[in-house]
Amino acid sequence: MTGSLGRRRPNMDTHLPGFAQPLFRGLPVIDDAWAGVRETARKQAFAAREPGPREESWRFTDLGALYRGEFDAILVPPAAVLEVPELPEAGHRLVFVDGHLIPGLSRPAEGGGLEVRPVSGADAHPGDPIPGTLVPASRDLFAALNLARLATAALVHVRRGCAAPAPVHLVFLYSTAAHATFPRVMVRLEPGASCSIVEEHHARTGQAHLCVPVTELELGNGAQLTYTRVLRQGAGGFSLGYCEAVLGREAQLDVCTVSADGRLTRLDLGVRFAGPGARVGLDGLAKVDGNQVADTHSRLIHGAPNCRSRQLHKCVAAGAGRVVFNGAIRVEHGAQQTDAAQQSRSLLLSPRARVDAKPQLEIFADDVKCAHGATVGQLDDEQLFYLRARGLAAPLARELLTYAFAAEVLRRVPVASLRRRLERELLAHTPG
Amino acid sequence: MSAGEVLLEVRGLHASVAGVEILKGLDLRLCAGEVHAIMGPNGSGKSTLSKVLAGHPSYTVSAGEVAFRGIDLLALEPEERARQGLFLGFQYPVEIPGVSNASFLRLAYNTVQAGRGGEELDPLEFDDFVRGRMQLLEMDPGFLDRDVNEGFSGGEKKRNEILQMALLDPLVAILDEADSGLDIDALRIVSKGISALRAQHNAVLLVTHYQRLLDHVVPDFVHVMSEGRIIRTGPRELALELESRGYDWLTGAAAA
Ligand SMILES: Nc1ncnc2c1ncn2[C@@H]1O[C@H](COP(=O)(O)OP(=O)(O)OP(=O)(O)O)[C@@H](O)[C@H]1O
Ligand SMILES: [Mg+2]
Repeated sequence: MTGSLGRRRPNMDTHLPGFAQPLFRGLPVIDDAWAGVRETARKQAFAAREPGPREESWRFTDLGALYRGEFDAILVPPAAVLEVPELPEAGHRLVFVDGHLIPGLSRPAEGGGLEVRPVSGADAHPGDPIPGTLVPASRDLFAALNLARLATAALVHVRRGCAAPAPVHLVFLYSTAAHATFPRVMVRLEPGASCSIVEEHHARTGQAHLCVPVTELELGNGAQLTYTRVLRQGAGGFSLGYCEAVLGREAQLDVCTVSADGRLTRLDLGVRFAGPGARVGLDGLAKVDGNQVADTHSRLIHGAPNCRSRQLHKCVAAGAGRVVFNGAIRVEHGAQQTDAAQQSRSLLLSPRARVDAKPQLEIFADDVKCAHGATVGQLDDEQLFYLRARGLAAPLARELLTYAFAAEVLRRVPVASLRRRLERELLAHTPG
Repeated sequence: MSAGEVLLEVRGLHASVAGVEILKGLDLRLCAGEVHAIMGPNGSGKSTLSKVLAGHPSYTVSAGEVAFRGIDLLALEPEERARQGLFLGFQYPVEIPGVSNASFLRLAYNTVQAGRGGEELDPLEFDDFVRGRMQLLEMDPGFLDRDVNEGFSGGEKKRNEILQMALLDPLVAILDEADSGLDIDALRIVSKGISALRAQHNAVLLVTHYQRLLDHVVPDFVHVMSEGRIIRTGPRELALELESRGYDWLTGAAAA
């Protein structure tokens, strides 16, 4: 921290925290359709304060280690050939390495009812979503950095009434130490469209690096989206992610997020019901070990009547790992007949592990059902004994019960091969 | 009848839970080929005995010894006891949401098989095997796809315990109230499962409150437990006598 007192904002537009300074050194100025967006965001980034422990939403997650680092941008894609996580069910796919699209590994779709393509300020179509519409630069420093350093985004656009025949796979790989990447995914489902999207982030390096992935999801009336987000940022990875969705009338959104083993993984997940009769399901699993931190801040805004939301967030903390969950639900004035249910359950596998879980309800309508619950516990001794009494060694029994705990979320991963892969990778002993 | 090899020998067992002594000098000997029944008032320590024998970590043994085929049972971890051939059918089987019954049963089967040098089965082979056993117990194969005991009715849980016993083929089976909560058909099926296990080389310890199970699985000995001790041992007729007279005449004698 700069040592300033109170909420005073550094009053110079040249202020930028050290960790991000290399990002703007020698940055070429490109005059394209997104130049204005980038420039405004750059100004916002220079004016924004570093999120720190004095802000409520960062109270439990210490960014000190991130601020002590320095992260540069990778201006040309690395030549290394990386293993891409395959998804046999997937149809179209975009693969990015260190923020750069790798055409040889991608299978875009252009024209027709489904478009899956990279988009930049140089080749954006007039009807394409404008980056920053749902996660604007004004949000905070990291959101501003993402837009200021915006290069190529991934676009998924499904036209009115069309259904994507197979899951769309968006893969982001990270291979270079001490670099920063700012992926952006923009999804637009026109009324009545439907699609399943799997977004994966995998570090192929254990070294320190920074990733700020931003995803914007627009669902028109009656649109249906299944969005699965996997984060494996590696032992040195800092991931500060945002995902914002807005739902039209009677739209349906199912989000499943799974994160494991990043040094620091933060997800700000926002959903806004903008039309009546819509439905959302949020399932999350965060797993930490060692000194890892996983922080999920979700914010559901019931801005229209008759909408239903269901949320289940599960955390598994081993070692000296730390998990944070803050689940805000806001029911706005007039959002009658809202039905919102939120559950957070955390499993502590070690006495040094720690969890801070908190629901946060703001209700301004009177005819509302809003249920929430948070539990923090350890493995159940009676279950453990039952398994051991059937011959399972204690460590295996513990792993099996940890698996069982996570299974409730993993079973909701909508793509079978991904579900099996995650079970295999996250849980050493998966019963066959 | 000629007594077989001594499988389980309990001598002067004292055990406590949460600082409260429950077992207060218990003696019991099970030989190969025998079926024993333990009856006794609620709270007399029957389940405590079962769990101490199976190695539940919440119980502390303060005195006494237990030999299982000549080896010190109390020195073994619960999983090791199971692999050596000890089986506990729980009075209250535990629900484990998130673990499918099929994977659990196969994991248990293969672990115990590996422990005794037997052949392990892959998922397909095991599926055939377990379905065969389920047929004998008139269990719907649908229970394989459900999670371990989750949402099972009381009787279904008990049947699942007997299924596990049938799969693991133990040397000593301790069945804690295998008959409680069963309807008439289920009682017949569970009894059939126990009788099918019964052989010259193994022994069964039935904890029960009622004579009706013992009509189907006729015991060689009936023990009465009270306040953490066996206070009377007799032939099968003792169970009939308990049914008509209750425990007062015995516990009164013990107190005297
Ligand atoms: N954790 C505990 N703390 C204190 N007392 C306990 C604990 N667990 C069991 N007990 C007591 O130990 C005694 C014996 O219990 P146990 O379950 O062995 O009885 P039981 O003979 O199996 O009874 P039932 O016929 O009702 O099944 C009871 O009085 C019970 O309350
Ligand atoms: Mg009992």
